[in-house]
Amino acid sequence: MRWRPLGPLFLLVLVFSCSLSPGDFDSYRRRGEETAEEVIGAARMAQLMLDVAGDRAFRAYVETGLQEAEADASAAVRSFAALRPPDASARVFRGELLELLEPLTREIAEARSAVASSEIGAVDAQLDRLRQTSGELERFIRR
Amino acid sequence: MKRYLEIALGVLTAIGGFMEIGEIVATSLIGARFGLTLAWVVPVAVVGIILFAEMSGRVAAVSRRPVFDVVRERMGPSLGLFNLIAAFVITMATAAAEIGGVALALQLATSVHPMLWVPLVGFLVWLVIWLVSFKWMENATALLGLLLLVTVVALWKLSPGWGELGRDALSPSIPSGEGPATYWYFAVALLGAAFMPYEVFFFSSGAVEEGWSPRDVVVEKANAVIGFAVGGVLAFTFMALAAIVFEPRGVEVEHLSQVALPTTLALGKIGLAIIIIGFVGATFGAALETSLSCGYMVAQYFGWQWGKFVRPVQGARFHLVVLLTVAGSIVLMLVAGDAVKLTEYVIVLSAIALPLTYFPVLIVANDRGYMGEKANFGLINAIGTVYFILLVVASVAGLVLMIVTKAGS
Repeated sequence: MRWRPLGPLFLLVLVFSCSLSPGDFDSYRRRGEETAEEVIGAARMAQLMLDVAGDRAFRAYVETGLQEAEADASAAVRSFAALRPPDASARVFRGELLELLEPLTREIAEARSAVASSEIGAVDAQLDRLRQTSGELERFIRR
Repeated sequence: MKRYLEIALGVLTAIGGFMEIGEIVATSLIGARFGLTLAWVVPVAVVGIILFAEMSGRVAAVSRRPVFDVVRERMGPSLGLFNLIAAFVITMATAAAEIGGVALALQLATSVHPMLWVPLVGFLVWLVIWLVSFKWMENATALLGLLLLVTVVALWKLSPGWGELGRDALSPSIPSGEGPATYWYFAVALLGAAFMPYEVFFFSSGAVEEGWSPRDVVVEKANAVIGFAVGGVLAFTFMALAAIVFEPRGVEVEHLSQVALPTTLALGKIGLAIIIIGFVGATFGAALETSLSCGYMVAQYFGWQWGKFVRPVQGARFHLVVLLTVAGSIVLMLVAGDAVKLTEYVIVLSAIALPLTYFPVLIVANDRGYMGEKANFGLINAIGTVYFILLVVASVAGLVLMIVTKAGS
């Protein structure tokens, strides 16, 4: 009986902790950097998969690897995009970062089409685009 | 000659049996994130599992009774029941992860979504348990699992800087960007991956299934010592491959496809085909062992007829538990959705429950009433006690670190 009031309190704490967003610009930026690292990791994984695509690995294997890299990158971007920026400078940072994250995620997704086309030229071109886009993101988070 | 063949086959089985989804995922994940700075845990874990597997096999060979049977007698029904519930839950979750592991390996060969494979794999696990003899079942899957030795060739082919690799392995340190809490959390996870509770139940029940007697203690010792030691080399190889390919690129290992990548880079399609078959053999074998282990522990606790050495009609309740375990594992895997994530939790939960499983083994192996002249002698007893203390520390630390590090994230 005595414990009954604790139920709503527990729910309140749970809801509050689930809806917590990074409190200041520094922690928001840190989350952004972590997201960028995750997406860069997924892009590097996609590059490795493209390296073995063709005569060094079965298509089913490469497609699975690329699909997983794409899913990892998309999940990381979605979870960052859902965070509420705490102030104006965080809003600017968010805009700049998402502008780089989204194209890189798209490039990872397009790597699958390049493999499906079975053209070595398409795979090489996609590898170059991935390296370039991922380089831009790396430069942004290291500035 | 027959005896040497028995030893050779047993050793091969132990090597193949050591590598299952937990070991494969933990070593690769840790290699990619921490390099070889946690490699020291592998020999520590291998010595421990050799020690306890040998003890449980010896208990079964001498008393002709499996470990859980003796646990209940020594610990009493209440504590025995607590032990049974903890071990059963973890072993069933392990069975689910192993079924998921087979599904992931099949996805690599077919690109069909793993969740579509899960029910079929589960059904095949049950069918093999129902139809195939214990010896055939154990040896065939373990020999397929041995194909994972292709990773040793891949490591040699990638020719890393051996000196640097050795230095990293011999100088444990916390890598920059990682905190002490995550470092120790993954040390506990690696320990848990080697010390899965089902290994002891399966090893001792298998000894009874195969009709071991005190004269088989030598074979049993050779199987445990050589088999698990070579299994440890295999674990180190997985860790080294991930450390070479993924760590410098900052890529974290979260999928089975990534575990196969270093071998593919080194050996191309042939290497990829061999490692995928190895994954299927290792995880399917472990799915059989974990499902059977659930049946063994429940039947042994309640004193029912158990085992594949009797006809199914004589061990009907044992087979029913196995069937329900497989069905439950399929559902659990489908609900969890991600075999690798499930495995990550299972190995840490295994580490937390370790003392429950290993304490009774140590007690019974020391008991001259059961074991006579085959009881532990002084040195083994001392090492066993040190390991038990280590397991208790790992168990408490595992729980705390899991909360503090948010499961290593």
